Amino acid sequence: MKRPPWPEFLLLLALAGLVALSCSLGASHISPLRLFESPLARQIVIEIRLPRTVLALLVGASLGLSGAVLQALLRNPLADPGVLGISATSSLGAVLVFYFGFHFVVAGGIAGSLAAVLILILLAGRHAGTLTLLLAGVALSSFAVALTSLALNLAPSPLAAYEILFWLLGSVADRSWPQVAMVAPFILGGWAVLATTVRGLDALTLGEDVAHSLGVDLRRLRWAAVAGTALCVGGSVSAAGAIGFVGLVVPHMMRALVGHGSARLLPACALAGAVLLLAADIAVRLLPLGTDLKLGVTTALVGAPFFLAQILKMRERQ
Amino acid sequence: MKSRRAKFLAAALLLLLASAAAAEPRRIVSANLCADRLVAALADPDKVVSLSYHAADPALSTILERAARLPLNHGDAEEIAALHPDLVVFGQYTGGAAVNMLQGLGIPVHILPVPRDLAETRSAIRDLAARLGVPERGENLVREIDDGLARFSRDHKPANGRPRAIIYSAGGWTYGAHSIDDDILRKVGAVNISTLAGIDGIGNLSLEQMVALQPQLIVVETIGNQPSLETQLLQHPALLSGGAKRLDMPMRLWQCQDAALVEAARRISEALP
Amino acid sequence: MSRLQWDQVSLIKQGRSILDQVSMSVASGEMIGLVGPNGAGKTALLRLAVGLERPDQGRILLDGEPLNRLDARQRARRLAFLPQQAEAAWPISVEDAVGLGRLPHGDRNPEAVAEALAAVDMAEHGDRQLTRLSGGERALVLLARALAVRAGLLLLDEPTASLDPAHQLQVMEVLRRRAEAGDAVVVVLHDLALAARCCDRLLVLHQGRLAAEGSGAAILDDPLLRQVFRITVERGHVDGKPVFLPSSWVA
Repeated sequence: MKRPPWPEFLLLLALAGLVALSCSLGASHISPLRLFESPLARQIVIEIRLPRTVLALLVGASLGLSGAVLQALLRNPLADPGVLGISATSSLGAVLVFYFGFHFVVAGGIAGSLAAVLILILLAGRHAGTLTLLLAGVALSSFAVALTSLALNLAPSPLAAYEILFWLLGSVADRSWPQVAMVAPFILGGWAVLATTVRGLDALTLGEDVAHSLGVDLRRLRWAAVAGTALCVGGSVSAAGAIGFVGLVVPHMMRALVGHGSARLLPACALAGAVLLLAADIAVRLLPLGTDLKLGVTTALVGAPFFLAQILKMRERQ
Repeated sequence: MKSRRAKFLAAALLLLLASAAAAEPRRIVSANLCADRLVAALADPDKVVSLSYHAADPALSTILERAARLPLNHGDAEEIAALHPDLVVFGQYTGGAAVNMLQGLGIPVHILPVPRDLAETRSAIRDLAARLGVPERGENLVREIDDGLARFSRDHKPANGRPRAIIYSAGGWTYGAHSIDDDILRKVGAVNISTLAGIDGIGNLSLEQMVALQPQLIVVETIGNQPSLETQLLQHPALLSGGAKRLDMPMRLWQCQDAALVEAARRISEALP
Repeated sequence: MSRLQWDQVSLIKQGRSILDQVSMSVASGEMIGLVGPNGAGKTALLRLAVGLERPDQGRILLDGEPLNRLDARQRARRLAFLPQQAEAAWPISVEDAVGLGRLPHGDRNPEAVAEALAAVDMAEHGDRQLTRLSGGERALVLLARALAVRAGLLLLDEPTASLDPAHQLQVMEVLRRRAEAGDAVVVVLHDLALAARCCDRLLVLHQGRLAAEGSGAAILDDPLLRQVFRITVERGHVDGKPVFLPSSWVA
């Protein structure tokens, strides 16, 4: 039963449209159509709007992709970098590096991500049920948020304490090309590593023993998933803060449209994540609320009800 | 005879009371940065008992040596009351509950307002000087500021000939009409494009909006260089994309309404095209 | 020709001896029943062959080659394993589930999938979701997944557990047909009568050791049944074939 590729096609169309829209929107109301006549318009579109757009795509794709991989690896439909506390810990790492004067923020973000996954494995064990895993995620998340708040209060800059909303809810506003360039190699590297898990993840559907008997190296699979997630989520959080729910919602949506096969599902989730986050960023810019609404608010407004619906569905199944 | 002596005694008593009431404070506590600086400039040093802890902050203070020799307070009522002051100076927005508490204890409090233009600056200085019992020194300071600013005033050229300037601070904060910063920009002959953009008092402009207004000079307020997301905004490559010149203005030069403003005006004047 | 051989294999876990110098082998065209009471080590024996455990002593030979010299993919192509409790994490379709059996070969091969489904009589159910099937239907699909590997060597751990009699017989029939077609089949069973009827040879494991080996009729005598399985049975004949029923348990 082969499903035709119309979901991916539509997503690509949506992506192109949203990119164009994103480059046209801005507080100065300058149209990108003036790109060629006005150096000012060129500057604004290329230096201010475009890095923001590209970052939204990179982060959204990373979240969608890592959500799909985590759900398949942990065989748990509620897995997501946010729910499991990976994003929050990544934030903590980034904050510790950034505010205390070191420039390589992305190192902090990735270290935080990696630490989170290792701690989760330690807390929940390899054969953890849903409850244990989610509780471990809650514990990790709460702890990371508390430490982040403390770190921001202790930071040398007096402005730091007010910036916690960025780290907790995320934003791509006014991000510049140097910042995007700092994280892009790690994000792309993470994608490459996650791509190697495709075969193994499919085999895991029927359990670890069957997967092993089908020739899958489970340890290598787990490490690839861990490393790939750490790289792309860590990189994303370093530049845009912790944005939740994208990794939770996107795999469910795409599974219904393209099926469970990882070879098709993973790229589709990356694509859908990019589209979703860019749409959320555009929504943030269109809403006439004046001050900078954080990106994570819109994803939470969509994602949290979805999360609750999933829980209810699981209860019914029981 | 009796009535004349009585009148004389009454007059003497009144004079005594009046002079007691108008007596210069001898134990002055300042609990606000700008108040610190003005008090240090106006009052006799031996009458100043304590300054706020901001006076020791090199990013904000112009009176570091004074601060090194005095106990520093955090604006806490208990802490201040223990110093037995006869006058406490607070800022307009920084007093809080401490003001009421100290007044309740019978301790005189003077509130230093945040001026919205140079005229209010002058009256704030005069009022404080009067309260400190040194009105002549207040006048001297006002004259020093006015003379200093006048040196950098340019002739008011027609509006479209004046250079376009903006003050852009960490996080995109800027100052429009009815602010000291606006006054100074106008005095040195620039057009404050934040005012043109409709900002009144303190406001926020996104990077894109700021760039689109095409300033020729961007005055960036700096407050030390500890990293934060808001200061990171000021390093965005697009900031100077319109060909604007950047002037880094240390916060301490224009945080407060005292003689440091003259130095701020000088720097802006020199940086203007 | 011997497909799989356990050579003096021992396994110790947490200080307990699970298997003690067990030697056995299975050849092409043979169906072997591995029986024994709970905890005898039957599952462990299979897991060793799949590489899920490492023997503390002895070795395992797959087509004459030591198992630890083969890489995972080579082993996966030559040996199909059906563990005791396989569940599906996702509502995967029947066809996709069976298709997973082609992973070691890296191809989709719809013909192999169709053939496997046909062998278990589930050919028309390709589009249904695995999680919506009945227990019996699911067991058949999972068996088809193992068949799709076309390894020629099948190791099954209690494939008839919690199945109704019809599905139990159906599963055994499929395995019998595979053996007749030339596959080597090792199946762990609790149902002694079923094992005796369907398998060419029985291996009886008791406390990690091989207690008896031979055809069901020959070795399942009363003393063995009492000593190893702690039961007494009633015997009879149906269609000329011997049958027996457990009648009471012995302390």
